[in-house]
Amino acid sequence: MSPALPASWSLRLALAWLATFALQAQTAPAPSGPQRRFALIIGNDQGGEGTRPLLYAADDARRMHEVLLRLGGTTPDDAMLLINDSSDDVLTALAEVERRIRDARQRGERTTLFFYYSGHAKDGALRLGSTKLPMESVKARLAQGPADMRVAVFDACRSGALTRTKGVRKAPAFEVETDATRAAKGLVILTSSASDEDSQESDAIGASYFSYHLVSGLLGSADQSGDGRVSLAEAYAYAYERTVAATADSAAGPQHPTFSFDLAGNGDLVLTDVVQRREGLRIPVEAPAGTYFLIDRRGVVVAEITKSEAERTIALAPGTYTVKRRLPDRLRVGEVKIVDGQLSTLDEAQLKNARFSDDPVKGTGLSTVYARHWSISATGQYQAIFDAPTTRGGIFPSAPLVGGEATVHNFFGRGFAWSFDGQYGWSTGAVASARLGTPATYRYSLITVGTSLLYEWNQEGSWVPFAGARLNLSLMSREFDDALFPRQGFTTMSPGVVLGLKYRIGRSFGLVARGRVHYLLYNVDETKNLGFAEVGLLVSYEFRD
Amino acid sequence: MRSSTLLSVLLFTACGGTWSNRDLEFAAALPSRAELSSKLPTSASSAQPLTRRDGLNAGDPSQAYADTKKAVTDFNGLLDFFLGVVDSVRSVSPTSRSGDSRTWGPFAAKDAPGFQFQVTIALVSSDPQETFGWKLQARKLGEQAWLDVVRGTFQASAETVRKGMGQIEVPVKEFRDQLKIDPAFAQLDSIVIGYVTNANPKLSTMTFTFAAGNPGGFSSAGYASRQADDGSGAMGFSLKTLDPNTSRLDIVSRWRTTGAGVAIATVAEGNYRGATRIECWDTSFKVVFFKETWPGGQESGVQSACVSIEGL
Repeated sequence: MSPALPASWSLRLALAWLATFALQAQTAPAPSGPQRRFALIIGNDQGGEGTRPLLYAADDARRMHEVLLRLGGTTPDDAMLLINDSSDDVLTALAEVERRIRDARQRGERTTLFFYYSGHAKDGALRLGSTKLPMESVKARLAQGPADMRVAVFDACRSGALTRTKGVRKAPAFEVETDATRAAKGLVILTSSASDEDSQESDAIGASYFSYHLVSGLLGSADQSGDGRVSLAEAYAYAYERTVAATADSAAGPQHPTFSFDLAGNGDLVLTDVVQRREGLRIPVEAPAGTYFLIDRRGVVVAEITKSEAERTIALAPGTYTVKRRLPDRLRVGEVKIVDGQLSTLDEAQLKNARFSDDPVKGTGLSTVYARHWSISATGQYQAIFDAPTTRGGIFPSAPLVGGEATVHNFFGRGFAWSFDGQYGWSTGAVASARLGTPATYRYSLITVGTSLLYEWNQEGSWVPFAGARLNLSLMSREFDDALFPRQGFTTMSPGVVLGLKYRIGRSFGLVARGRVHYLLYNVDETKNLGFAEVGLLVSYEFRD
Repeated sequence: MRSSTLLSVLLFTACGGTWSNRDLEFAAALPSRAELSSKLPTSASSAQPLTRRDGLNAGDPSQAYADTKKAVTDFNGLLDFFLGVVDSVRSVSPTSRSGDSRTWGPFAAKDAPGFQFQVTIALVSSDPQETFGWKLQARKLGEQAWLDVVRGTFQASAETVRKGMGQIEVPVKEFRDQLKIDPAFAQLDSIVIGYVTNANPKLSTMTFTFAAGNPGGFSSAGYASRQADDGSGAMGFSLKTLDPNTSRLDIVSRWRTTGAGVAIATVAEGNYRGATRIECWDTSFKVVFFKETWPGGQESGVQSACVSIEGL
């Protein structure tokens, strides 16, 4: 391993080299055949023993796969996406890609392989679930690969000793060596962080910082030259700057992406072409200079474009986006709709002034709606037992309940909430056994505690539907009016499902209608498979920054 | 597969309790003190000292009422002694269940260190009526075999398991040598309590069978109680006296809800065997009529002042 250079030096050297390479590329003989781009995209949230699951590695891979198909000149047949697959699967897929590359070269086509990995790396190996793939062997395989150009991106983590802080998930340092292997030819390797740093994921953006900014750059944010094409140099510079800036204040400390290369003027390094598809948003020359944030319907900033004098194009996928430009005293906010196959033009006149308090996203441009936050609720509900009348008058009575709950939103990733609740219920009942003659009346009380894993849709909207699974612990007791009979109790753990809809009132308050259905096992007199349903109303308050 | 098994184990281990409708039927089939005890009306006025001069006159505190009250107290005390354990056991849920039986215990016997006890009840027949058999058993710690201390049967009525007729037996002879018991108690061979609770009045009897050679020379003795829903009732008992003419009296006391009652004592042992004494008392438990039929017997008041005991 070569001595580590200061990070700023690394960036300068990289850009200097990339500029030189670009010059060489212009002067090198033009390839004789058409260009063919292959991609092998790997994402794995699981790192096996000694690691904690990542939250966004698979999502990062999906986003990279999507942008390469849309803008990277890769056809669906030439792009392979492996999510949570094993090392054998990766090697098999790599062999298949290499076979296709060799076939393409035999036909005289100029070939590029884009290899992307997002997941754990530890002890010198990529960790794919419970399987391992030695990084040296991957590196050697790529170095000796048949493609004319090989671009490898590793966004990896290695350690299980992750330290969670608010909104940030630390990831271990990336271990792929940044020392160039001169024997290889036509290989560029980008890494998410230096070898002595942690790579980080963010709950707020729902991605790793590096992959998020790299994808954003490939959409056009990184097109500093304004030529409508994002080169490797531009993409790396953009991802580097944004990743360092975004992580500078994090508890884990700043994260510096690195690169290594061994190239000899093999060809073009343009990664995406944002104008050829003519789909997305054009920010015309006359638009005011500044940084534009493009926010999707989930509240996620998908691209940031710093516009100066020149026109800029961002290759957004079809959909509706919020556009925000920040001024010293206010915001300019509007909405644009990107139609399939069309290039929309931003009209400054359609943007409206907005106060900072009405910012659709705050701070660094990251959604707070999707940031992890707490909410508390007061509940009132009714529990009905699924117990057909029997000769003994049923087993459990139905009852009203009151209680409260606390929820951590976006805890297991964007949209996934973890909730804890407790209720108290009371009622009266009677054991109407024919053998007892006079019914044995009793006072019934019920305490339930539960935890739910929920998924919430449309968190930024007024109506937020949610659904999930719940584990419930019920402690029931009854006290008979007839002193002849002892107090009885029953405790049961029961799984169930939850379905509900929240209506936001203002920024923090909400009204929630919710239903639950649970299995209920009774096993004292006999074993009976019962169930219960709960319908309720909640008033919630969200603690959001 | 492993996770589903784990979930099943979790659900089953986290599930359980005492919530049982069927338990209520078993609990109701066990006899209770409240159901079988005799209830003699009392009032504040009855708290006056029952002193009497020689002889008895109308207006004096009723001795027959006092004797009856003592008999009722003794009868209820014995019920408490035998059924108190059953009642306290029933105040908690069974320790174990099978389809047609319930078991409470074994518990450590607080009053008899080194012993433990249990109560079991089982449905032994359902035709024509449900019949239960139950036992209060004890044993020394470390021993396997249980000794029956109290055992009973109960046949429920056709309408409800709360009412019916049953028998409770205390087989003293069977455990006299194995368990530590009071010397006075050891003079008995058995105590048998019979009861009918699905009739009005409810009936209960208590019969003591004495061991041969007991110091008192008794063979058997007992109580008989009837208790109507309206509070009226009757109690039959025997009374030993120091008078050789009336050394044992068999007494039947009957009373109304108001407290007024009549006691008829028949001389069972003594020189005046077969003679009787009638004593009536009013709602303030004072004599309104008194008559002895043996030679030299006394009479006071008018018999028409006696409360009617017809039907009791």
